[in-house]
Amino acid sequence: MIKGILNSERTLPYVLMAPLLVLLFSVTLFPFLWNFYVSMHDLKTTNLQSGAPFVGLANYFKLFRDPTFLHSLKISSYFVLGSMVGQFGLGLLLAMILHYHPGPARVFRVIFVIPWILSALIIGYSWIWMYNYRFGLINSLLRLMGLSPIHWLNDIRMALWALVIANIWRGTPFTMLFLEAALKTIPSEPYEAAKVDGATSWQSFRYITLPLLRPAIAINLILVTMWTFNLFDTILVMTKGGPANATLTTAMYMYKSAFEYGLLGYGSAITIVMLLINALLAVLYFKTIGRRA
Amino acid sequence: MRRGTILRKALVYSFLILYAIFTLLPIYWVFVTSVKPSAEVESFPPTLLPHSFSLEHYEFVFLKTRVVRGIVNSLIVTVAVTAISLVSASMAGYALARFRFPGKNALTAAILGLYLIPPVVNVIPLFLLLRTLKLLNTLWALILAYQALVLPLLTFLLRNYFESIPRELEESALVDGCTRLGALWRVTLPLSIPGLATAAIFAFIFSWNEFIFALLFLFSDELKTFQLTLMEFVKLYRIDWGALTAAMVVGMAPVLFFLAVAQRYLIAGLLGGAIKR
Repeated sequence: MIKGILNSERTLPYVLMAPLLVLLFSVTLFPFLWNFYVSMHDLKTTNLQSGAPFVGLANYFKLFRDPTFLHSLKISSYFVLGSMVGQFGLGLLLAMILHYHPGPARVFRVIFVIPWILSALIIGYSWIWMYNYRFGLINSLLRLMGLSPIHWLNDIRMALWALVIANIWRGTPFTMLFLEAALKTIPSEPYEAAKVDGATSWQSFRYITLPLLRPAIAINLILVTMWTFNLFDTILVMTKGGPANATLTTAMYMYKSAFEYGLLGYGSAITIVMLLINALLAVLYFKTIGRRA
Repeated sequence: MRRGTILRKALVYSFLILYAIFTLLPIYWVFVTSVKPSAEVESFPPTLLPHSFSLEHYEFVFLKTRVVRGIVNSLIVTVAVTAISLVSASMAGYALARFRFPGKNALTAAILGLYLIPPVVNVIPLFLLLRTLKLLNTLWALILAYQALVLPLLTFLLRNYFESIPRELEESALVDGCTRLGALWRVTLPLSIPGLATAAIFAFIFSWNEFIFALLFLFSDELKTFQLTLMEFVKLYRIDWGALTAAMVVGMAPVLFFLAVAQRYLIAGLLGGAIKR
């Protein structure tokens, strides 16, 4: 009987899929669905035992009147925009260089990938140490150049940009690898034709490379935007949203609401709104950049 | 023309070198701090090259802190996560690569859809789920929660790998009288070792690096994973930078080791999960 199930072409694939599906259901799909239920309850760490009252959409209504939440959306958009411009610009430049110079690419690619695979905690501490007021490398360099040192992470105006720089450092390798792989799929014929017609290298880039890369660029920007918007691990390590909420992104506010203030239902409503923003961004990108040129 | 090429080459190389310096500087700064004697770590102005070399911080980290215990806990979690995810993802990946069955496309789309759910969205319900199952503050909490991070990626990675192995090899084994599972076990699996190794390295790196779930799901000091023990060097008003940087070097070592030995597979894998469909 068991042998029959295992060797039948009709049943075997389902048997093989079963463990994965059971695991994914329990650790991903079920929590995902439960989240909607949680977001409609006034669940707090204090009423976990006794049971939380059902409040309908009250958490969501509260959210859009919460000035800290609206502030966090603003901080998140700066954080995402700054990170994206840096990661995309540098990533595209590096991808082009590696693609057209396969010799040095072999060595440099491995070096450039390092930040992408390190733990967020180690990245956070490394940058705290780089930004240290007295002993940090960055302020030492500023002093060497005769400039005055900066309180990078404690200054309300600087902290967010300090995080953006660290995040560009961390995320650029992904864009680089992604776009380099996409460049490899472009055939060489259009370039040869353009060369015959006397096109400059800027013209081939502008009128061949960019249009052909467009779908890859769209996917890349979606992924980077989502990841950056959802990210809070390095922020938690480096500033915890401070000073004075200057680096309180939406993801960070979710963490604080749920796990520092103990407002689990409220935090869960924030994650649902974040999910909607993620979906909205994806649609927006595909509508604008992803359309066929 | 010729001068133009040289100029261009110089420009390219100087940019590559500049970016390499930017990439390596924070890591260099951590490493160099970890081998300075305590007095030099916080000397002003800081020294770019250490004046004297010392392993005192490593000695302190390994002998007088919870780091070793943390490494053991992390290894327990890592091995369990890798074993469970590798078995279930390779079975599913094989089914997706080799069989045609009703519902296959829907299942593939569902797995991809689950992969796109950001972990941050699931943190609260996962916490509640583990609490209900009475698994909070056990290593099982992490072993289960990390499956959510690695399973979809590993499934696609292994599916793509199995697809690259010619089907004919298995078919000839079937003709020779092997059962379907026998052919998988004797023919395909041995050929898939590089793919399985890449998947295992991914599972290891994810579980070794993760700290948000660990921070939220574990409370006891004895259960702290390696990453959590790093946080013990950070006190409210003071950070022991010598010890912290030494522990950070210890934390980076296995990841950098795997990058060095399996760079080609890892880079392909990093993209495989993201690009394909």
